[in-house]
Amino acid sequence: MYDWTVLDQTVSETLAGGRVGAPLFVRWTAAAAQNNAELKSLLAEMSAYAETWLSGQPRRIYATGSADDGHLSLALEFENGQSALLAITLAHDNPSMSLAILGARGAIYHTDSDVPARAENLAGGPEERNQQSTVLSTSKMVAAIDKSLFAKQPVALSPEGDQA
Amino acid sequence: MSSQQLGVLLISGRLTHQENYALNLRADPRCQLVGLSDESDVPPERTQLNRQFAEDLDIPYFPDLEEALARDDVHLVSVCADPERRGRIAARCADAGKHVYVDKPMTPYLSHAAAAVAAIERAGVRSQMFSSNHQAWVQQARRVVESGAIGELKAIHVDNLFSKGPNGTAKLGTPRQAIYPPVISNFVDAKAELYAIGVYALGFVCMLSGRAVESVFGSTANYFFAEHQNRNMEDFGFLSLTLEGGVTATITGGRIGWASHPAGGANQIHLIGAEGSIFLDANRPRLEVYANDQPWTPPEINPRDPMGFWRTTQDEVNAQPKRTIASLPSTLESRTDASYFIDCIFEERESEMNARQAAYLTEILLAGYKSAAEGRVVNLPLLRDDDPA
Repeated sequence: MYDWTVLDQTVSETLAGGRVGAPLFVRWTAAAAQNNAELKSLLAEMSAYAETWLSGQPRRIYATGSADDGHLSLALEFENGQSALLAITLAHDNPSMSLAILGARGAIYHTDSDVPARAENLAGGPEERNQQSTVLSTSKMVAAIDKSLFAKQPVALSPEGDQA
Repeated sequence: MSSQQLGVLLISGRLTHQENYALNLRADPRCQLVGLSDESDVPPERTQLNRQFAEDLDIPYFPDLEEALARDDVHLVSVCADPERRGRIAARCADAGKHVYVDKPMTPYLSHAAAAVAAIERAGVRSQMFSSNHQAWVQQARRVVESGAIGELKAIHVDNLFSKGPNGTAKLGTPRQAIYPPVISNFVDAKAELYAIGVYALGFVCMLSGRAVESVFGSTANYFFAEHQNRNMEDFGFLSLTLEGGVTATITGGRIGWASHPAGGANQIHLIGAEGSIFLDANRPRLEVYANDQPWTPPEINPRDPMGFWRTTQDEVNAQPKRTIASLPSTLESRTDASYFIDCIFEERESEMNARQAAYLTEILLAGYKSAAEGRVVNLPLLRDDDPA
């Protein structure tokens, strides 16, 4: 399994420090899925992180690819004009990732051939509550991804993350 | 000029990519620069820049393009005219029986692209649009695909983001309202960057996949520069493509500012195969060098070229190269794009980036702009009624 919480913490702290200015675009490609079944939820989880880093809600998403074929991509356009381009594929026992966050005055890059394993969450702690919240948002995003893949068109989202 | 040399006519000079292409052509012993010309009705400023570049190269300036194209000692024309003029000039060169080397993209107009392709194929001359397809790291990606090391290709993700220009001036907070047709012109302080830079990434996708693009979703933005925003031109954009056989691709293209990368920019390819994936970066493998010398600083802004588009204007402000990253040379042979084209001419074979392929990339780009403006996926081919010409 994967664990992007440490990455998230460092990215969030760096963005909060303001060195790169307002975050505007997230480009994140990961070969991290252990099987085809977890591709959509992983992609939705990546989307949740992108939303955190961009401090915004997507107004429209467009998904391409095929979970059966082992690859998915997701384009997100946000209310405030930011955007993200995410992609997930199978790790094939060789996980890797490339992340770029473009800010108005600079950029953050992270390329790694090692995607850290997920730690066991502590029951009842803030991590679990955060996870429950994430599960809710990722389930809505998975539904939106499914709809976009089926329709082969972008899907508009409400501010609550529901399909508009 | 020997019988084994091609005489080269340049069209347009300073403050165009001719500043680079002419030097690469001159460096090839199979070429000899014959002169420089342009259309007779260009603005006086353009004529002055053309004359200056002819003087820089110590070659004659031919004020009449038709006379220049009629010369027997001209075999090849390097066309770096403004984007709107490029396609029609390429067709004129082919009609005159000359091989055509054209700046990228070849044209923003479907009708001009079709006319250029028809003229070139009718005349039986060779053609090539400038691309980065022959850079060693891109050829390495091609070898990975062709080797089968990652299995059947499933997806490609490409970034071409140039770290030039004084970023941090764009007004942020709202989505860009994209328009179709897009504004495609080279202003002193702005270009349509998805068009001008994204074309490289599209070239990679088409070469590496060998598949046709079926549909395009596009998005454009004004993230970095007030100059682009003021001219209603994007400084950044991305495309999400569906290709034949369910292969997908995403590309980014844009200008992200001097401070946003330790080298020339984020130029990378992520190949996804059925049996594995691989990440290639134009700046890897590399050395990273840190020292107690003065840190690199962006060049002084040249009012004639505030975004750092051109070599001569950056030389005027003594722009210095970034020095943190020293990329290791590839073991693969690295050829200039121009020399690859000269090979094609002498070996009597088509360039993989010939006018027909260049026209195809124009169509994909326009589909992306149309998608961004209309907020929907656009299928190819485009209706010819959609031609912005």
